[in-house]
Formats: sequence, structure tokens, C-alpha cells
Amino acid sequence: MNASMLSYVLLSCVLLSVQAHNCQVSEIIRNTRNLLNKTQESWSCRETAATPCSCLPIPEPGHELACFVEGTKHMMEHNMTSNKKLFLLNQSFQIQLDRNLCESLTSGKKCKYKTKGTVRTFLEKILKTYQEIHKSRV
Amino acid sequence: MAVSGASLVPILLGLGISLASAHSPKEVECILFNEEYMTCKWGSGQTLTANYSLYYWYGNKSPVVECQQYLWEHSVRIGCRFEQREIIQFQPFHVRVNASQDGRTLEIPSNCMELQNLVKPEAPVNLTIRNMSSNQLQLTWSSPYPKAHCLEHVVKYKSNKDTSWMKQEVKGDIFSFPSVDYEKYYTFYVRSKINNYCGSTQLWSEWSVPVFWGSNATSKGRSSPEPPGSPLRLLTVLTVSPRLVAGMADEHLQLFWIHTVLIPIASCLLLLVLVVLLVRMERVWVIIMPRIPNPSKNFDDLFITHNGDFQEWVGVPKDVVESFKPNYSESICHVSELPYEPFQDSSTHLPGVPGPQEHGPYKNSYVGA
Repeated sequence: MNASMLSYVLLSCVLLSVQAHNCQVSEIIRNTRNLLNKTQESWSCRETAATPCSCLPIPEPGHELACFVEGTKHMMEHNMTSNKKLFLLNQSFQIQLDRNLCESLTSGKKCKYKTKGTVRTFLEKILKTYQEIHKSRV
Repeated sequence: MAVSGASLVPILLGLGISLASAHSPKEVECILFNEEYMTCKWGSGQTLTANYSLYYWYGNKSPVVECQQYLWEHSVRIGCRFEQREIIQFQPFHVRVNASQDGRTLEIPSNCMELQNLVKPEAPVNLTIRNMSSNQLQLTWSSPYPKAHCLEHVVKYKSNKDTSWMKQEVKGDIFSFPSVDYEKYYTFYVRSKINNYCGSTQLWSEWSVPVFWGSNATSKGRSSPEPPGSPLRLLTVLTVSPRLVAGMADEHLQLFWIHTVLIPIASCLLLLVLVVLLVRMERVWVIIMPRIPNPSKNFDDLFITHNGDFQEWVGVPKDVVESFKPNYSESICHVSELPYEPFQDSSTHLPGVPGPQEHGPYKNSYVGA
């Protein structure tokens, strides 16, 4: 790696670290929509006693990020999709949770939910949550 | 008679049920108009006859509330109007419509709704065209919807010489039209929709009031909001057209001079400059006209470094060179002829044997090896 490339990498890291100091919603919305569009194509749920279709937590208010981290992690572990965007979503949620970037979503560090939903309902909950944040901005 | 009367009853009942189902509303449809008010309708007064009541609630815990303002058509309730204070987005919105007639109550099914996905913004207003440099037009507008960052737009346009409309999606509130033809007359429309960052909806607004651009508007081609068939527009066309024709002729002459004289001359000059530069730049000239090859340089090493020793220059190994040199020596053998002396005694000479000096071809001595 030569000097110019190193400076480029360092500058990118600086910019990314600066960027991560607020609640980023646009990329999460884009990635979630992308996954939703692919839900019907590749994710067929076969309900069994061991693997119910409704297996992802639908969070209570204030515990969204913790449940989004858990839910996306569960999806990756069970190979619900090999989509790279799922990994990016999980990473984004984890960073926002750790750094308390989206305050309205991180009043609880642990996932609290009353119901569980399917992959589609889970992703729709993510989409709705971040659309609300974006819409409320001036 | 009794039997025939009894058999008619189920037939009539079936007919009544089918009639009722044919005229009963299928579902409730709600639309938020510019986030200012909302209407939820379940049919039209021409088909409905029952007495309808709407109840709504948000999520699972909020109280069930009856509609405060019904919409009427032909003395029948066909919908409900919700004011802004009654609307909550991003909360599950439940609606139940009860239809009662002749003591019977039916419930019209309604799914849970997300109101942020039912927003229909108002059409854009104040469409304005500005003439930018280099034949470019810029169309701008404003929207009555309060959150501009939640909107996406589509511009629909065509000229008077086009047969179909062109549509272009626009994220912001500026549309640049790259190459306008001043001889054409353009019409532009704009409409809006909530984008994917604020909702998931397919509800477009109505098309805006159109704006026009071209030679029919004014002599300078400024935008005009007059509709095509207005008397003012016709008058403008009639009064402007003689000047317009003269202007167009001048413009044509200018274009002619530019295209047939100026551009060819400029192209030739440019070509000449390039050729001159090409000739003078030896690096380029050598590529086009390569020099006759001179291989003498390849033999400099032979004559300068190795002093003409071909074997050394070629690189013949020294042991091979040595092998050609003889590794033995021979001494020189001198061979000479004795000197001639005349014969004095004839009795000692044998017949057939020549004399030593008479017939011998060699008279001098020689050296043999």
C-alpha cells in the first residue's frame, strides 16, 4: 500500500467516524426496502414446532434498536438470507445502540417485545421506525 | 298453493341476500389529503341503503371513538372525515364500519392501516420557467405539502411537434431541460408523491396547472400560465407573429453563416495547426516516417571493445578456442641435393643408369620438412 492510498484510507476513516455521530436513517431505509423486495422471492417459511415462522421480536417502544440487533443477528445465524445488506443492517444497528445515536430507540439496552413476527413484519417494523424518524426531521 | 308459496320463500331469501351483497361496500378506503384531513369512504350513495356507523382506534389500547363528521350522499352515510387533530401516523389505525338495516347489523371488514402510507400530497404550484445559458431551461415549483424532504416529483412535458409525453423523475424541486428548441412550443406538468424515506405509498398528487414555453407565448419566449385555448393567447399569437417571422429569418441567416462558413474555416485552421505541430514535433514525426535502420551500432562492441576479435565478441568459450591450437611441434627437416661433379672414368658407369647430373631434373638443393 503506497502513501497516497494510505492517506485515502485514513481520510475515509475520519469521515466515516464523523458521519457516525448522528442517527443515520437513509441507508437503513434503503437496505430494509431492498430486503423487503426480496422477501417473497427467496424466503419461504416452513412452519414447524422447532422453527416457527414468527420468530423475530417486534419491539416495544424504546427497545427498538436492541430488538433490531437481535432480530438481524438471528436472521444471519439461521441463514434466512445470504444478503450482504442484512449484515450491514446488523452493523448499523449495533453501532447506533452502542453509541446511543438514535436516542428515542435506545432507552432500553435489552430487547423487550410482546409479540414475535415473521421476517416481513420484522422488516416492516424497522422500515416504519426509521421512516418516522426521517419524517419528523426538519 | 301453500306448497308453492313455501317454495318461493327460500328463493326470495336468496335473492335478498344476493342483492344485499351486491350493494354492500367491500372495504373502507382512507386517504390523507396533504396531511390536513382524511376521508374514509365505504361506498357511494347510489348503491348503499343501510345506516352506517364508523368507529376507529389506534394500536391496541386507545379508546374506540365514533366518527365525528360523516360524509353524506343521497341521504346515506358514505364516509367519515377526520380532522388533523384526529390523525396519528406511524400507529396502527383500526376502523370498524357497522351497517344496520331492518334490525340486522353487518360489519364491513377493514384491515389495520398505517396512515403514513395513505398520504396524498397536493399538486405542486407556482411552476416557473427560467431561460438559462446555452439553450437550457430550468423549471421550478413549490409544494403546499409542508415537508419537502419527503417528496419526490415527476415532470411531464412535450412540445407541439411531439406525439407522446415524456416523463422524468425528479428528487428535488428543480428540473433542467437541457436542449430547448426555440421553434417549438412546450408544455410542462408536475406532480408529487411521498418518497420511500417517509412512507410506502403509490398515491400521486393531481397534475399541476401547466406552464408553457416557446414561440407562441411572447416574443422573448417567457413562460406563461395561460391555457391553450384562451383568447389572450390567440391574440398574442396574432400580434406577435409578423415580428416573429422576421426574427426567425435573421436567426436562420445567422445559423447558416455559422454552419456553412465559420465552422468549416475554423476546422481547417485547426487541422493546419495540428499538421504543423505534427511536422515540427520530431517525436511524432519519427513514428510516422521511420528512419532507415543503421545496424552499425550493433557492431560497435566488436570493433571497439573486442578489437575485431570475432570469436571473443561472439562469445566462443576459451577452451574451445584453445582446442583448435595444435599441442605438438615438429622440427624442421632440411633436404638438400649434393653438388654436381662431372664423371671422369667411363668404365665404372653402368648401362641404363643415368649419370648423377646429366638427367636429374633437380640441380639445386631444397629444404623439405
